[in-house]
Order: sequence, then structure tokens, then C-alpha cells
Amino acid sequence: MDLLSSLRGGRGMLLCAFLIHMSFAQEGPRTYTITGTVTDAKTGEALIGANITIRGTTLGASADKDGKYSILVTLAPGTYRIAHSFVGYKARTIDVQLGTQAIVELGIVTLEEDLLQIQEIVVTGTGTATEKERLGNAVATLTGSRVAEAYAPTIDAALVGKIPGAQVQQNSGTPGGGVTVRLRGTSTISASAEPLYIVDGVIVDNSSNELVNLGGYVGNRIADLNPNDVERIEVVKGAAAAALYGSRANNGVIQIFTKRGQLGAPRITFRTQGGVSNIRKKYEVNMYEYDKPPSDPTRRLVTRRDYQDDIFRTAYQYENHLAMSGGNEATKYYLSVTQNSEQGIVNAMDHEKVSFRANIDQFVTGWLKLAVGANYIYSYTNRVPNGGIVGGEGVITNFAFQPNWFDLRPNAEGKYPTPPFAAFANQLEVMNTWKAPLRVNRFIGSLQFVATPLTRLSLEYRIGYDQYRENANRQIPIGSSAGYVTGFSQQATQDALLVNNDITATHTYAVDEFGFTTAAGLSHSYHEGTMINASVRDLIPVATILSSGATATAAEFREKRVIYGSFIQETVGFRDRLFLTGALRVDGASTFGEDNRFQLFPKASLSYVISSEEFWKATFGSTLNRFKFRVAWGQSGGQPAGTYDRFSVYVQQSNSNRPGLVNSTLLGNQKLKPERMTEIEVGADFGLFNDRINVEATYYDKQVKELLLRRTLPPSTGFSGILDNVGELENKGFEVLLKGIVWNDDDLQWISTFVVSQNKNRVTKLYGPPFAAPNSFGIARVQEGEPLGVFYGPKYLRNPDGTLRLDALGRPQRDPVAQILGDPQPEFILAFTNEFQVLKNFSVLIQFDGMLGQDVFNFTRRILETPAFGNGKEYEKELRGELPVGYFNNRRTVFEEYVEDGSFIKLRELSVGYMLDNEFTKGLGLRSVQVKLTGRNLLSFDNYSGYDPEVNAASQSTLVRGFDWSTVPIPRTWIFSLSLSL
Amino acid sequence: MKSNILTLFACSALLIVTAGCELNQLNPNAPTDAQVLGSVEGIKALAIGMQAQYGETINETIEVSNFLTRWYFTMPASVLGLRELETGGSDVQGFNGTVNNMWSGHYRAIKSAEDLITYAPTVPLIPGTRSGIIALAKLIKGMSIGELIEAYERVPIEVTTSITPTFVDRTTALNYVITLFEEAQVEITTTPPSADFNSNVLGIGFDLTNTIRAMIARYALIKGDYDKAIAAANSVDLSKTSTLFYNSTNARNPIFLITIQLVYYKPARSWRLNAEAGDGRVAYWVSPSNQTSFHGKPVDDFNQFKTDAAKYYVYLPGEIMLIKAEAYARKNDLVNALTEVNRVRTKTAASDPAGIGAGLPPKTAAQLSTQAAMLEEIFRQRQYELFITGLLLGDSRRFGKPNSDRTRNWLPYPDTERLSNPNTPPDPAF
Repeated sequence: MDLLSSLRGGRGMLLCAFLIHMSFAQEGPRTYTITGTVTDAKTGEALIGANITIRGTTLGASADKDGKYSILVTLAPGTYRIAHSFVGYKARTIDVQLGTQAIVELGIVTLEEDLLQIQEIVVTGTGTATEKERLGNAVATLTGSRVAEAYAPTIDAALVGKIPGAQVQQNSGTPGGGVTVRLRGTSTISASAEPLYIVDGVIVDNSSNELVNLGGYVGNRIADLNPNDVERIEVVKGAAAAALYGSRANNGVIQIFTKRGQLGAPRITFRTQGGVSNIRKKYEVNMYEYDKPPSDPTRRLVTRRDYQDDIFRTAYQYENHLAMSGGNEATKYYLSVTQNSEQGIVNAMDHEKVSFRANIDQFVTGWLKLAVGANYIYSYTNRVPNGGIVGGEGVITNFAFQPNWFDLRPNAEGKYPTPPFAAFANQLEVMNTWKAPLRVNRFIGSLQFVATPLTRLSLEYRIGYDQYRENANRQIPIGSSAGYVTGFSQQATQDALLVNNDITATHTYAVDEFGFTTAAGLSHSYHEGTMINASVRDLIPVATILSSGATATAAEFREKRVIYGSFIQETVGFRDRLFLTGALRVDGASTFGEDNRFQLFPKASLSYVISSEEFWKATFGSTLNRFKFRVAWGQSGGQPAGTYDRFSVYVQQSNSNRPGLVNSTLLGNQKLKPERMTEIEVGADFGLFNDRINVEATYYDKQVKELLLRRTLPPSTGFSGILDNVGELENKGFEVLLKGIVWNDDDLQWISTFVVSQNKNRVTKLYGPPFAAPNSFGIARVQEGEPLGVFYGPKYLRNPDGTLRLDALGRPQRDPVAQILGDPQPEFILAFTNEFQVLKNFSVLIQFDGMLGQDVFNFTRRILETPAFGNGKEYEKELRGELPVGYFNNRRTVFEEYVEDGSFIKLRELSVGYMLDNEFTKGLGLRSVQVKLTGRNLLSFDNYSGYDPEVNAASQSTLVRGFDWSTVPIPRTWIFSLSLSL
Repeated sequence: MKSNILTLFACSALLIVTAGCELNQLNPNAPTDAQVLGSVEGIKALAIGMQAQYGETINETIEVSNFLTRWYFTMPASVLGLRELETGGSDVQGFNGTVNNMWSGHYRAIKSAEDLITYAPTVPLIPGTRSGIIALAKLIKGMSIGELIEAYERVPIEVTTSITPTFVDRTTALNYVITLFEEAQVEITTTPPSADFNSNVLGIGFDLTNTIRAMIARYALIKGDYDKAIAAANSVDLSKTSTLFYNSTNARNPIFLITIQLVYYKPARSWRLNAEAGDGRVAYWVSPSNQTSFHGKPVDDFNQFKTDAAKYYVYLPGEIMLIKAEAYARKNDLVNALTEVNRVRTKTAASDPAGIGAGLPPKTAAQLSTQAAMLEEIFRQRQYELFITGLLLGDSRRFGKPNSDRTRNWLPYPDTERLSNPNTPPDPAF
């Protein structure tokens, strides 16, 4: 009931805002009919479905199939601004004087194509739909076609190089997803650093559930979403923009909008595509004819084999996508089904997915709209262990571990030999006889009411529902290597349910040169999860299900997290050029300690379109035609990693054969609060040469305090530690988007986009000594004054001139003092994209992107050249006697050696499309036919010695970044597609 | 219709607001403090767990006592922390594992005991179960603080009220410990423990009444309150024993694990060689061996705690006799002292409920005619009667043995305590 009192403030403010607005005296309202026609400025075609709104009211209409509209309104006489907008076009606002005339005819309103996406409406983090130019903070947007046509495996993977300030990394080439997104750096130490994902207003789960051990690989659940359904994506990157998401916004917010029906006859789109993937680069392997150096009398002749040839394959994929959309003034619909199948480049890995979506918009009455969305996804993935972050069972892992002079192939009976290093696995056996399938069933649904009962008031109510079951399996038959002689079977299931309820009220009002928009809302959301994990050993022959084994272990974990929020926001606009916004969000969460249950997150921003001023038009106007200055400040929160971290719990301690309890040594904390970020960002958006060039530049400074870390307690309290809000870190950087029309005429349209960003991350305060990140072999470290996850370990002993100090036998030596060796975080992230439209028929897209200045720890190379295993080409030098015996045994202890420059520039996307001649397609009864060839990850310019510097063996881990340990490399992929629409 | 829709919106808002209590989610995965300390079931389970926690920590008490008095020698190269205790002096620092484990293990038991003392009166236990639990908690808390104050110069005695507990001196701690035992005694005298407590909470083999009496005697002697020590010792029923329970599954005897299973250290052979000829207790505690320790010192083998279910005597009948002997001797009542000394000397394994018997001839008054001679005899009897009980370090200091008999007098305070508790006193020099 604390909530009531805390909300009371918010409600009071809302009420006040209404009263202020209502208090302006008004003339008696009259009835008017405003009509017009919206057309494309270039072609003159009607823009069906264009939006027409009367500023400062909720009134509006959309253009019909002839581009015509008619709005019947009852308004007080005065000057009103009528905004005409259409997706992909620049909006146009026309001032009208409503006086004595009842019918106002605006005639033909032409809209120009917005090739650079300068004018967009943003809804994420803004309280209510807001034109970009009014925002005091940067919001990155992306159109759906750039997602679908990237032919990336998942939506998040498609974002790479397209969002300024975002570091997007596909962590491995394993099908089924696994992508890290960091918006303006990493802003937590102990929790997940992935952004909050929202689909059409529904908070969706993006967990990385490591249900079974696959050596470090784990997918994230955004992979379930279908890239083909994406209409638009909005990305808000920090507290200044995301404050309205309260205690879940520290990592930023990504909102995905799915396609909806449009006015007109049904449109059917069908696309079929097929593709082929290959490994881009392999390790050179030791093929020397002896197993030991010449000095060793026991050396013998051996036959070596490159097991990469057994592991990797040419992988095929296909996808079929069918969508139908259409509607009339009252009802619009979008329906789609996508089915795809994708092989991994490592044998025995594949992924299949089916996705259905239905989006329906229904006007119940003229002022009440109902929008429903339903998405069902089923996927089945066959995975194999890889990577050695946890355990040594991986396929590529054992390509490194098992000496390649040993024949690992099965005998005539099909039995695989026990490998030389019996604690690790026989990789061929793992690949061919072990199973690790994953099944996902997921439903995401939403229901939304939008009501505009009063001229200036709109209400929105939304319920979102995301439910999935993820079931992972491991089946290892009896007689297997790596300690699985008696076999192993495991079933692990994660059930998740996320529900959110939001209600928002928006009130707009304009008086003289001022415009007021008040938004207020309440939200309630909860997340329920249940994980059940059971496994058995001692299987009977042949069978591999749970009931075929004995020696069972089982575990269960349940959680429920509840968050209440409320917000109020006021935006004041002056002459449509100066906009001030202030907002407060209050969050109450079950994860916070009872003493800190409710948390306040404020924000404030200013946007000033200086170019609207006459003095500007007169001076810079001819070149710098548009210039907006913006500054924003805000706070947001980060949820604790554990749902029940605030509790002090008890653990089993038996005595005299009776079950007893004793306190866990980790003390609960009823003062637990969210991690709190304060961000300030300053930026400018401007257009040059009549908006031929669009620039968006932002500098930001994010200070994250009250980070949750384990603080040591005096053991005399009976505890060893407490999770406490004690740490601090910062992210500072800039991001620039530069987009220009290089050429635009009837034969050629050429648009270039350049994106660059820099982020400097630093841990500014740790409560206690530096510590090693778990699952990093002690290599990734958290240390005050350093970026998160710096590499740490021994360096070479060097002479004063910097050369290696070799020992008497000519071998390198290690400096026993461990030091910081490198930083996995990039200094610069950049992308350069060129899109060409030639002669209406050809379209070409080339995207280069990359990251510069980051280090990668190549643990794979370390194992490959370790003499005990010795599969790397480099080790041949010792076998040949070119390097002293023990050279590599010394070098493997020097971690400095394996920290490599991970900078890369990749030819990420290359696509060439051809649209068949319009007359021809019309003859076939089709609206359009397009064929397209797309290449992905075609080239990489880097100095990295491993497969690919774009790698994260620890998947979406917050602290262990840039660590390469036998991870499946991202393949080079070619895809051919055929799209038909009618 | 409009108004209906508006009502719907208003209701939704109300629904969201009124569900506020939903924020008090309970943790379904593990019992929380509120659940454990607020229920009969939880309080009983905590009383059971507290005994096990104490039972896990006795080994550290014994190691500190016997390494510091030079009776234990380490065997493998790997046990660096124990070797620091063996070599002593400045080798023992705040990061030493035993220094930390003895401290944290006992304080975890003390924390449970304090919670039981606070919360047992607040849940609807039947009176006899409540009194039994409170008495048991006070006893365990007192025993833990008692063992700590014999190893560390100053210790906190109240730990659940602050996250930086304050330290008290030795006298305050000893007074506090005796008060706890006396309160425990009052508790069970006023309300005798229930059958439910005795058969479902109290550890198998543990004699609550006699252990309270024995502990009053032990710590009154250490404090120097001889009359109280004699009175309490006299009240102990010497036909009874009190033991800690271990089994082979979830409560394995920690002494067995370290000494028999892992063989981290062995007893100094000099302990056996210095014994009085014919002392039957030598073979009780050790068996001869020809091995040497990591540092090349001759060692014997342990002959006790040879299974993981071996029980551990919380006090031995012989200790009670020797408490009386020492208390009389220190009061210069050599006649009564001699009687008690001879009871121990002549006791046979068959006549001792714990099976320990010296079987030696009695001493005459002439042989122990001075207080100093009597005390020296008592000291030697304690060394052989009470070899693996954790009492030898305190004895060595109390009988005024030179520092050379010990590798340290007191342990330093654990680093984890010092780094997080500003009240931690400076480490003792030796």
C-alpha cells in the first residue's frame, strides 16, 4: 500500500496538468470539415493510408485509396496546424485558419520521400508518439527492410553496423542465435548487460538460459523473433532516453515494431531463398611426420590428419516466407508464416524454425481502436558442444586437444577409440553419437486499446504476454569418452511467462505559440520462471532417455519478479522549435529490499531547432538548412541479477540424521536497490544542402553508481558477504551518423551512410580488491581504474631494449608478476554502407563495418601450440628442431603472447537485386518480382591468427568478452532469393 | 459506450494500483530468515543445524590447540596453512585458513544460537521444547565463545545486532560464557525439556544437563573461580557421557577426515615417549609409528576417530576430576587435590564411561607435597587424559609454561574480519 502514497504524487501532478490546460478560456466550438488529398511529390501517386492529424488534438484521419481524406471536427475557431505524414516521407504541416467557413479544402498536399529518414515518429521512451525533432535525446531507428534483407540469422545480428553507439556481436557461428548487444558500453558488473527488448509494447524475454553445458555456448531468446515481420526498430541507448523504463533501462531499450495491415486490396508477398555457408578461414595444422623433436630418441613416424576437414562442412539453408496484408478503414490485418531450416558449418548442427504472426487492427468506433498481435514460434536445434569455457567436451575444443597423429575414426563395429587425452572427448564421437537438441515453443501476444474519447485526450491500454518453454537435452550413449563410460542423459526445461499491463493517458493542448503535451501512465509487469534440470548416468545400452539410467540428480528453481511503475511527463513546445520535456518515473519491484522498495527516476531534456529561427535562415540557412541542438539528462535503474537476492536464506545442515538448517553465509539485503545510472547527453542533428546530407552527433557521459557487488562482511557476524550497492563505473563516448544522398536522378539513386562511435568504459570504484570474472580461467578481470573484463596474466621477460629475454637454451621466459595485458572492448565501432538503385531495376547494397582497438585472447592458439597437444602449425618448428625443445612449453605460460589485436573491418553485406520489368510482371498478374543475391560476412580485414576476431566463447557473458576458445566461427554465407508480390 | 470504455480504463488503473502487496514475493527456492525464525518448524530445524555447525568446527579448536603446543606435525607438502601453525610465530598471519575457519565456523554457530535465543520465545513452541532449545543455544554459544577466547585474545560476544560487532576482553568473555551456562541451567531447571526436544532436536548422545554443569566447571576454572568450578564439577554425573553425533553421509566426523582419511598431520612421537611408563592412555590416543613428518620430526599414528561416524566427547569424565584437582590445588587444598589426581591416575578403561584409563599407581601425599608439584602433576595428567580435546593450549598458558612450549600464545585475527570490521583489535605479538 506504499504504492498508493507514492503514486498519489504522480496523480496529483497529472490532475494539475489537466487543470492548467483546461483553465485557458475558449471560444464556443464550431463544426468544420477539413479535406485534402495526399500524393507523392515525385510520381503524383496517392499515398494510401497517409496520416493527417490536427496538432494539439487527438483528431485526425487517414487517406483513402485515392489519397483523399476528410476530417469532421468540432473545434474552437483559431489557427490550427494540420500535419500530413506517411512512413518513409517527410511530413508536411499546413496552417489553417478555422473561422466562419465550415468546409476547409486543403487541396493536394504533396509529400517528398524521406530518403535519409530525417523525420520520424518515435515512441520508445517518449511517453507518447513524438516527432524526432522534438526529442532532446538521440533515438536510433531502422526500417524493417534493412533487417530482413540483411539475411542475418536473427534480428539482433542484423543490427550490426546500423545503430550508432551500439556494439553488436554475433558471438559464434552456432545456429540458433547468440548475439551480444551493448548500447553505449557495458553498464553493470554482476547482472546481464543486454538491453530490454520490447515488441509492439510487449516486454519480451531475452534470457540466455544455459540449461545444459555446451562448453560456453548459449543462445539468447531474441533469436525466436522473425526478422521478416519487422516494420521498424527503435533503439534508445541510455538513461537520458530510457528513464521512463525505470529500473530495467540501464542497458538501453530496443523496441521492435512488427508489420501491420494497410488500406487497400490484399497484398501477398512470397519469398523463397536458399543459401550456402562455409568456414572463411581455417587453422594451419601441424602435419609433421614425427611426433617428437629430433633430440628425443623415442620419437616415431606418425601420420597426421587435419580434423578440421572432418568437423567443418558446406552448410545449406533455405527459408520460405509468406505474408498477406490488407484492410479497409475499419479493419486491417497482417498475417505471416515463415519456415526455415539452416545447417551449421560444424557437422551435426542444424536449426529449424516455424513462425506464425497475425496482427489485426480494428476500429470499434471512430475513436476507439483495438490492436491485436499474436506470434507463435517453434524451433528445434541440434547442437554440439564447442568451446572450452566450461569443460573439455567440445568438438573444436578437441581438435585442439587430441593429438592429430591419433586416428579418432571408428572401427569396423562403429566404436570410437578412446582418445589419447581420455579426460577430454573424441571429437568425432561427440559430433556423430552425442545429441544435444533444443526445442522452443513460444507465444507472444498483445492486446491494445487506443481511445481518443475527447478532443485532446487519448488513452491507451495494453496487455502483453510472452510465454515460452525451452527444453534442452543431452544424450550421451554408454561407452563414450570423456568420463561418460556409463552414458549420460539430461533433460532441462525452462518455462517463462512475462506479462505486462500498461495504461497511458496523453493530453495535448496548444495555446498561442505554446504546445503542451502531458502523458501519464501506470504499468504492472511480472516475470515467472521455472527451471527443472534432471540427469542420470549408468544408462542401459542403446536407450538414452532419463528412465534408462540410474544415479539421478535433479534440481528445480522457481522465480517470480514483479515490477510496478508509474510515470508522468510534460512536454512544452514553443513555436514548434523549442521543446522542453520533464518526466518522473517511480518503480517498485519485488527484487528491491523492503526498505528501498520505491525508486524515483527523473529525466529532463531540451531540443532547440535553431534553423527555424529567421536569423538562421538568413545566415546559414542556404547550406546548413536544418540545425537542431539537444541536451538531455536522465536517470534509470538496473535490476539485481537474482530475483531473491534481498533474502537471507538457510541451507541444509543435518544432525543426528535429522534435517536441520543453518544460515547461508551470504546475508540478504533488505536495503537492496537497483543499480542507478545518471546520463547526460549533448548532441546536434543537422541537414546540409537542403537535407541532402543528414548528420546526427551525440556525446554522452554515463555514470553508473550503486552497482551490485558482493561486499565482504566480518565473519564474526556469521556471514561472509552481502550483495550491496557499492560499485561505480562509467561509459563516456560519442556517436556520429552521417547519411547523404550522393546522387539522385531517374537512373541512379545512391545513398551513403557512415556510422562511427567511441565508448570509453572504466570501473571507477570497486568495494574491495580486483577479482577475476568467473569462467575466464582467471584471465578476465574487474579492477578499479580499468575497463571491465581486461585481460590479466603473465608477460614475457624482456631485455631493456624490449626484445625477449631468452634463457640459456634460447627459450622465452615469463615474468611471474601478472599484469594487465589488453582490453576486449573496442575503441571505435564503425560502418560504411552504400545503397544504389540503378535504372529502377537494380539495387545494390554494400556494407562494411568493423571494430578497432579491441584485443582478443586466443586461447585456441595457446592449446594448439602446447607441446602436449601440438596440433598447430607453429609447433612444427620445435619438432623440426628449428626452435629449442621446450620453447612452446615456456611460451604457453606467457599469456601476453595470446592477447592479439582483434581489430577488423568486414564486408558484412553485399547484395545485388534485380526487379523484373513492371510490364512483364503485370502480365503475369504480379505486382513485382525480384531476384536477389546476398553475401554475408564475405571478407574480413584483420591481423588475427584465429578463425575470426569477432568471437565470444563465453557467449553473452557480461564480463568475459573477446575470449576465443574453440568457438564455431561465423561463416561466410551466400543467399539467393526470389520474391513475388501480388 | 464512451463512458463504459472510460470506466474500463479506470478499473484497469485501479487493478494495477491495488495489487501493490504483490511486491512482497517470497523465495520458493530456500527457506528465508522470516520463515525459519518465525515458525516452530524452522526454529527446531535451526536448533538441529546449530549443533551440526558446532560439530563441524571442533577440529579447528583441536588443531589450534595441538599445533600451537607443538604436539602435531604436518605430513604432506601441500598443507601450507597448517604448517604455518606448526612453525608459528610470524608465519601465522590473518590469511591463515585455520585462523579464518575456526573464527567463521564458530561465529556461524553463535549466530544461530543468538537467533534461537531471540526467536524461540516468539513462536508457539511447547514450554519444554522452548526451554530445551534456549538452554541448548546458550550452551552452544557459550562453548563456542569459550573455545574462541582460548585461541584469540579478544572476541565479540554479541554478533546479530551489528554488522561490525565489538570485541570484549578475556575476563568479560569468560564471565559472559559462565552466565550463559548458568542461564541455560536455570532454563531447564525451571522448565524441564520436553520429550519432543530430547528425541527430535537434541543430538543423539548429547547430555544437555551434564554438559551445562561440566562447562560451568571448565570455564569457572579457567576464569579462576575455584569454588564455582568445584561445585559445578561435583554436580556432574560421572556415569554419563555427552557426545557429538557423526555419520558416514551428511555429518562426517571432521577429525576423521583430516587425520585418518587425508592424513594432513600426525601426533609427535615425543608425546608417547614422554609418558609415564605403563600409562594406559597412550595406547588409547596413539599407536607407534616409525614415520617422520614433512619437517623430519618423528611421529606416531592416531588411534582415535578412525571412522567417519566416530563420536566425540564434549567433555571427558577425567576432565571433571582434574578440574576439581586443579581447583583444590590452586586453593592450596592439597589433600582433596591428591584425592582427585589419584582418581584419574588409578582409573581404568573399564571403569571410565569413555573408556580412558591411565591404570597408574596412586601418588602419595609426600610425592606431591607442594602446590607447585601438585599443579605440575595435574598438568601432566591433563596432557595425557585430554590429548585430543582442544584444551592443551589453554592449559599450557594457565600452568605458566614458557613461550618456548608454544609456537604462538594467541592467534592473529582473520584478515576478512580486519578488512571489514573497524573494531578488530591489533594482532597479539606472539
